[in-house]
Amino acid sequence: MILLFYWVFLIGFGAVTSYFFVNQYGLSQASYIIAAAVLTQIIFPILYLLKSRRKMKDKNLFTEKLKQEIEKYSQEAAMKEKDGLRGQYQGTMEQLLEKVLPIWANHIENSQSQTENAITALTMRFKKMVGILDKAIGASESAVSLVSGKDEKTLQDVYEKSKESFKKEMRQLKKEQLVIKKMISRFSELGNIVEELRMMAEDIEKVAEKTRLLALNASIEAARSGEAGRGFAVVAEGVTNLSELSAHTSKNMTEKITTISETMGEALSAAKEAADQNMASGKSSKLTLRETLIRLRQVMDTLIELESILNDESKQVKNEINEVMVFFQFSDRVSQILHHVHDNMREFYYHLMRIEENETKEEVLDFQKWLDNMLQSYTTEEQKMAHFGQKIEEKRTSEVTFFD
Amino acid sequence: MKEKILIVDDDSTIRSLIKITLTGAGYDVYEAEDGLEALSNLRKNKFDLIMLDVNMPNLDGISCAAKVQSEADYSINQKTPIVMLTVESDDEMKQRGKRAGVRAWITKPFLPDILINVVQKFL
Repeated sequence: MILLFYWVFLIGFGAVTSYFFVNQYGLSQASYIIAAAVLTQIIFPILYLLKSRRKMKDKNLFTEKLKQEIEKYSQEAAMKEKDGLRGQYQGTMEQLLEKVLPIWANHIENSQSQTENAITALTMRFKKMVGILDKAIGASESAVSLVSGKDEKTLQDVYEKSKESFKKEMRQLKKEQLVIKKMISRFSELGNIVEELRMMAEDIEKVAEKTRLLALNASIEAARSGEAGRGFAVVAEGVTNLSELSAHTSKNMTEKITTISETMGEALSAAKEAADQNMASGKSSKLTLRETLIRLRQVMDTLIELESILNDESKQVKNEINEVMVFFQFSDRVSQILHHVHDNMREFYYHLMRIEENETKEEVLDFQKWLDNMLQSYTTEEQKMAHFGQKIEEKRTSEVTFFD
Repeated sequence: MKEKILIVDDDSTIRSLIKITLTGAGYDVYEAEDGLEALSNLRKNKFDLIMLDVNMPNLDGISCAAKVQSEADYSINQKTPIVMLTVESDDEMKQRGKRAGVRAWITKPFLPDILINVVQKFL
């Protein structure tokens, strides 16, 4: 563009000067001057053009270089600024880490301590329960050995053996009682028959007595009748003989009945003796029964004592189980503490990433705000205590609040 | 008939311990892992008592209690007593619970006998 103006200017200037030289010196002399001027006008722009092109090239190179330099300076400045910020952040991070790391360490230490304490306590409790159960088993075994015999290993064995012995005695007793009852029943029947026989013998004796009186009267009447009564006297004599025979038979019967009666008496005595023996046997059974009852009483006493021991030990085991259940709850507390530490560390990591990306400045620099947020996020008193590095007291009892 | 209790806690060990304790005391125990699962259960089934933890994922115990007490979807359980069982012992938190309709607040770790006593007070 400049060159175009230049050429327009030169052409205009050349035309004016040519006109001046032609008028002043004539055409022949002026033509040399004009020719020289034209040549000058052509050469000079060409030279200028060539020079301009060189200048342009140099200018472009310079611009490019300048751009590079600016970019380099910009980058260096940015790096310096970033390094400055980073240094500033690092300082803040160091301060924050100085505060936060001991808190995280406290929380983790607290969790670890709770875990170890709970596991130790649980182990101790289980050991104690095993001890109580061993004691209970020992008490049961010694109780059995106190009351049991050779072949009796358990209280059930003692009971079964006593039951068998008792049943045997009862069976024997029942058997003997049955025999005696039967015998007495038979004797009773025989007694009735003997009584009937005795009455019959008495009747025969009465008949014989009356027949004898009748025969005596007949003999008297026959003697008074004389010859006519001779035949009648023979009959009377026969009747007398019959009467004597009846009396004799009656006497024999009475004797036999007496004998039977005496034999029955002896048999009855034997029966009584059997009854006495049965009584003795009953006494023996009673003795066996008493012994069995004494043993059962011992078993009962032992069981009562054992029950008392087991009751006490069951209460102890129940208390131990309650304690175990309390200690098992450490997992919930530890889980919450570690969950908070985990969230806090993750948030911290995100902040570091944001610093790296140079996105945030103020938020990261305010480490006190960070610590306050940590404090607000806690759910338990022990976390707050750990935050301030205070000694944590183990919490063992639950508190209950009613809102009614 | 056994009384039905819904226990809501994200910690499976705690749920097991509560279940052992209350089942042993003669109650019928149902479980939920968080507030949302509890609400799904409370929408359909009537319970005699609800036991909630405070800090749980998805929906915390106090928000769950407030929803049960105020929303029509849970009308069958609006008279059901709600008991919180939590490690939180902060008074402000307890007051939030009270405003949400909670009837009792038990702090962990709990003793089984105390838990049973509190439940027996309401059932």
